[in-house]
Amino acid sequence: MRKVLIIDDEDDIREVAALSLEAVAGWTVVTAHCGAEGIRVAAAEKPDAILLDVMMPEMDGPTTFKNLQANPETSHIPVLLLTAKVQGVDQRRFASLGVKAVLFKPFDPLTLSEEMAAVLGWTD
Amino acid sequence: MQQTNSRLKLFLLVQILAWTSLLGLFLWRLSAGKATLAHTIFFSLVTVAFIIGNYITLFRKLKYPLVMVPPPTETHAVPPQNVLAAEAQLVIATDLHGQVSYLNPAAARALGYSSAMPPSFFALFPENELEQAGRGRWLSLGAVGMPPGPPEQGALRYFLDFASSTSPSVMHESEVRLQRANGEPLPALAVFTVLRDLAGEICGLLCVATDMAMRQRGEQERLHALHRQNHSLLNAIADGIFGIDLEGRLLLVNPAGAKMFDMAESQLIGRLVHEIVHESRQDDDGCGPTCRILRSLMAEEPQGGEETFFRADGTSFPVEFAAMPVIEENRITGMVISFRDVSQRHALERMKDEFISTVSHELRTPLTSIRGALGLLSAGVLGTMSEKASHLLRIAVTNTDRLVRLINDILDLERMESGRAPLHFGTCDLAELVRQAVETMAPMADAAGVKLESSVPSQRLDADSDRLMQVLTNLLSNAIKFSPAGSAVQITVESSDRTGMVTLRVTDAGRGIPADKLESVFDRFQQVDVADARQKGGTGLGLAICRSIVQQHGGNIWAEHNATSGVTFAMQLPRSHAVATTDIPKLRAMEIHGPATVLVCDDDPGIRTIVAEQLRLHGYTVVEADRGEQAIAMAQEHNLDAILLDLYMPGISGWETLNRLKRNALTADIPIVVLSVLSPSERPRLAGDADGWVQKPFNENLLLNELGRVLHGSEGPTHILLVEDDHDLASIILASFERAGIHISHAATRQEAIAMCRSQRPDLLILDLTLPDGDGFGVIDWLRRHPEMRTLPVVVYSGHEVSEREMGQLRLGPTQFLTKAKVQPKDVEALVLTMVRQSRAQTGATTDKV
Repeated sequence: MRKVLIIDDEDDIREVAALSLEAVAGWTVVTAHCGAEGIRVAAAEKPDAILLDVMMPEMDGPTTFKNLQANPETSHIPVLLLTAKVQGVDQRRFASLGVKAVLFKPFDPLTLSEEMAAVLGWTD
Repeated sequence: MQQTNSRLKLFLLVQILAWTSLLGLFLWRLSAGKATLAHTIFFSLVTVAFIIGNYITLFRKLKYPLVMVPPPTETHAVPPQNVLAAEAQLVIATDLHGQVSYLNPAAARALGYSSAMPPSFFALFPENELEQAGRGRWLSLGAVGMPPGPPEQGALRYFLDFASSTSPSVMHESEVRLQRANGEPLPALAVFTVLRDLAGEICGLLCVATDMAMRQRGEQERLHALHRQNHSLLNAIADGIFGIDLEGRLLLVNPAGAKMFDMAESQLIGRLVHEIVHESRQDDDGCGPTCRILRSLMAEEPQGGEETFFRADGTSFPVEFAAMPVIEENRITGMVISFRDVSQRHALERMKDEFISTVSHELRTPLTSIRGALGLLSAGVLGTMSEKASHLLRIAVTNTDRLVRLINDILDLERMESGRAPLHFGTCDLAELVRQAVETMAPMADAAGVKLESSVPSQRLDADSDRLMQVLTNLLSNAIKFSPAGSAVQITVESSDRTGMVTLRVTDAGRGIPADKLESVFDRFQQVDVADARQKGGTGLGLAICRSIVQQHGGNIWAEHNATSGVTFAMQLPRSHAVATTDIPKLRAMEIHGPATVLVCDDDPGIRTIVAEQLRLHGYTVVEADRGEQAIAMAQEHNLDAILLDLYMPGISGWETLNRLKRNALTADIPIVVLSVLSPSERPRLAGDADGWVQKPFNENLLLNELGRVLHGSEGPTHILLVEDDHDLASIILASFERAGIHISHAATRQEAIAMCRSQRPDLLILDLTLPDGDGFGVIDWLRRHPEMRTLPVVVYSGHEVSEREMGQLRLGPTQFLTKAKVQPKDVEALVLTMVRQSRAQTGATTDKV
């Protein structure tokens, strides 16, 4: 049973994404509304993957990612960025971070889990 | 003249002798007492007649020794000069007695004789001044030579003497000091000529004098006014202006320019411009051949672009600049660069970029929730619902998708059209891209029951593969949408070597597009039928985006109406990115027969590097030297095919280097091309002449042409025949080729052209199609009948577009067609030089092979 952590400051998006992964793929979902909380939850819950938003106040996606990497308890967890920043210049910046993948908003709720599984190599 | 004087004197002597003998006779008669009254009266009458007659004719003439001159062919009383022209001109005429016969108002005023006439000519021209003037300059409109010897008598007589014996239109010019009524001197430039009456007899002297002081004052005033005007203009301009000499030194800078650099004008003038703008540049790449400012300084054509200028303290600012060469009398004497600080504009553009990025993000965020929620509901994930409810939700989902696509497209188009999404060119295979596109669209095609058929051979081209994919998928998507089930969409590719273009066609069998909408479908939000948009889910921007992408590749996209049914969308792209950017077909660089090694010797590293780069691009192997001594050493070590030699270098000069190279048996055979700011006609005689000469500033074509000529051309200078009846145009073209040291002759009619070709076969023909006695076609026809002319390279330069059929009729050897309105004479020069190079390389190659 896969467990996924969703970190996003937008409540609605958290809810819809969670519902999508739970209803469609049957995964367990835990959420966090900001980078700091996300790191705490990740260390505590040890999810199999993290879905990370980019534009967040205080600690943004890239910074959160760096902190996750820095923390030995969370550094092994694959991170997928989920972002509305789709421009080329942004893409290049993300690529240099070292995340597993970048998924775009708006996403198709019916295929989100499929896309994630493909990237993460989850065959079940 | 002395002869005529002596003839007169002889005549007088004879008369005196005659009279004396008569007197003697009379006296003898008287003494003999045989003198009658009749004899006395007779003798007296003869005496009186003698005296009066001679006085009237001879004596007067002796006083002013003149002779009867044959009547002139022209009966000018006044020399051919617009005497009454300017107010500053003083006109003074005198008769043979020195009596002033005419004084114009200007003269009267200037000399102070407004109320009364001057007493005599000599009051205006003191004798010593006239003598001085006698030593002035003779201007002649047809007279022969200078007057013999210094003046013996007063200059007045001197002028009359000389003038009487030569052609009517002799003038004498000198600086004199006229005398005013009040005794003050009036410096003037005086032109003297003789006045003749209707019989051709000299009757006086005419002087036209220009008041020097007034003229100088006038000129000075004009100069001052001009200065002031210039100054206020330059001060007022907000852009920076640099006036630069041939060496790249700053001659002039305006206040705005100096301010941008935070320096005083005096601190900048005299320095090298490149130093001023790039010296404190911190980049590690420095300013090599890619430095735009350096290239602009060497160019002969207007240049422009964006650059970064650096101040003395190391801070920089982005500029947009335009560089214009200054041309005086067909020669480049300097350059003017105007530049503008565009940091504000850059900041504005950055702000716009950020705004677009933010907007994009802001719109997408709420859409995410909407899309997500609706998607889940619509799929029945949270439980089933009534059909109607389900249907409504589907509508909501579809439109949400459409909204997302619309946002994507709008932003995409906006970014592309404002240049903020530049293409990333790379080598791609069109066949591979088409395969990928077909694969991507396969599901959609299957769902619509449409077959995708492609027959695309492997085709390499320079393109941005992502963007090209975007175009392909868009075209396929449209084709599938508008195709009925069971039909096929065809993809084909054609490529042409002649134009270097690749054409891809996507053909569907759908409803097609009405002829009047074939253009407008590419406009934004245009769909053939409004109903289509809603049904097919398009955004209306797809084709606009495709057009933008294709145009950025330098290509073209259009729609063709199919004869049977449906529509064909065609996209034409240049295979190579470089070709796309020029309008005139730039002929490929000449193939050198074997890699030629060239030594470039110039102490200026900038010029040396640029020249070396240009040569390498054309296949030459280049070695560099920065001093004469080094060049000589390298010439002996390396196996050089040619040397490019700058003249003005420190150490041993270019002249000396040239000499030594030519005197040394080892290096004497290496052809040397001199690079110099002097023109070939100015070069002084040298022992061991240079084999070629290129005048700086030079362009690539000139240099390559000259180098090619010394390497391959053994038949002597290039000979071009220009056939053009418009003389003004002809002189422009002739002038532009002069600089290239090419021998160019001009024929203005068909007859002349044929005659000249008959006497000497030109190396290239520039042909105007419309000639007064026939046309260009006639010339070509004649040439074609002669075997040795059949391979002649031709540039057809016509006022109108030439049709394909006409082009076929006009071809001899390699032929190029230029339309007058669309090209500049400079472009003709560049094209011709390239063609000549090519043809020489070919002849050189064939002779070498033998």
